[in-house]
Amino acid sequence: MDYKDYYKIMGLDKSASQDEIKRSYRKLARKYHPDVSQEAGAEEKFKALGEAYEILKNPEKRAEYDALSLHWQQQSQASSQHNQQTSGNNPSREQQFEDFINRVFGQGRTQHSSDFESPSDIHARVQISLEDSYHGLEKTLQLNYPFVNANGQRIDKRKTIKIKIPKGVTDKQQIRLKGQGGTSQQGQPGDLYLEIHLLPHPIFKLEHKDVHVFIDLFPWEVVLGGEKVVPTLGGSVKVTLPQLKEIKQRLRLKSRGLPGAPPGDQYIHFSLALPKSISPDAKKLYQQLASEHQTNSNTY
Amino acid sequence: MHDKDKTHEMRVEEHFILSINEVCHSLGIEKQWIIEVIEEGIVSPVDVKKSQPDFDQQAITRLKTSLSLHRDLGVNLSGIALALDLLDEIERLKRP
Repeated sequence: MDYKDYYKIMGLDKSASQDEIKRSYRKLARKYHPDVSQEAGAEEKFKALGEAYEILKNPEKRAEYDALSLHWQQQSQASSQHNQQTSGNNPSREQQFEDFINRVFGQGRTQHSSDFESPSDIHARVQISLEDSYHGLEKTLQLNYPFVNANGQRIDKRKTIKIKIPKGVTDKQQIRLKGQGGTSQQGQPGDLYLEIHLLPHPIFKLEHKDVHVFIDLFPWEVVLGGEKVVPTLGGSVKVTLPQLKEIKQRLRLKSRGLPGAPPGDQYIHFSLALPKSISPDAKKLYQQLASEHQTNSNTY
Repeated sequence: MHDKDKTHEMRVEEHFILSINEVCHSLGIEKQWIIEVIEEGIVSPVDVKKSQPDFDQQAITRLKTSLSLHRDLGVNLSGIALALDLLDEIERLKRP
């Protein structure tokens, strides 16, 4: 397990007071909580933050972590000065860190105070791309779930499962796989609930099952219409543009959104683009258009 | 090969309903808390008239979000209601 700089994760100085640690946690927890965060990778950041806070908020664990960190720093300074390699007898920094983490987090940390039998259902999130949803996807998941063993100890159990995410799942949709959850103390299998999160896409914007794409048109394309190659989730398609009545007009490509019953549509939105440079001849043509517009301004 | 067969045997349900008792067991929470969440207007059951309410997957997702805001950020129910309303508004504003 790679060493983690918990102070860096929390944006704190090593001399931070317990109050500062608490304040920083609360602020960053709001920023990275996966249910409210707009940041990429929020879930991983939130988990790392939780781990950092668990260590730093407790003076004893913090002291142990600080001592270990100092020891590693001194070790790596010494070995770089003398060009030594770590002897086979000394466990690596990574191993020592892993041992420390297992010792700290293996101490029956309870997140939920509950007198209930440990639920055997697993609730997890999966992030997939828009293309994955369009085509459907087979994915292998590593899931952790809490398990209360016969000694009453709460341990983390891990399960690996290969699943088929159906075509056309929408953002934040839940799917259920009965009997694919964890196992209760009595050996009963629970259910697996997956909340699908669709990653933002560089080209397409999703609204439920409909896909929206934004295309730039030159002035002559707006007026004259013509053929345009447009991206869709199923690949590029040639679209015949009509003469647009206004730039805000949008075109609908039926059933080109996410699959389903009924499938979503794709909507093309337009905005005006200007050529990078306008030649003197082109400028003359624009001036002609301008004066013709003035002459015929009573038609508008 | 065996894995592939297993994948195809697994039934994936896109639409399902859970009773309040099933939700309590699944999420490890108390019934009373769910009732308070309904009373706050955060979540609506499938049939408001039923004494033992059922929840569709949208409501279950919202319940899970409420629970995680409560457990992880210590937000109370009216704070959760406000947070979710604001998040809905952000989603609405992001629409093309």
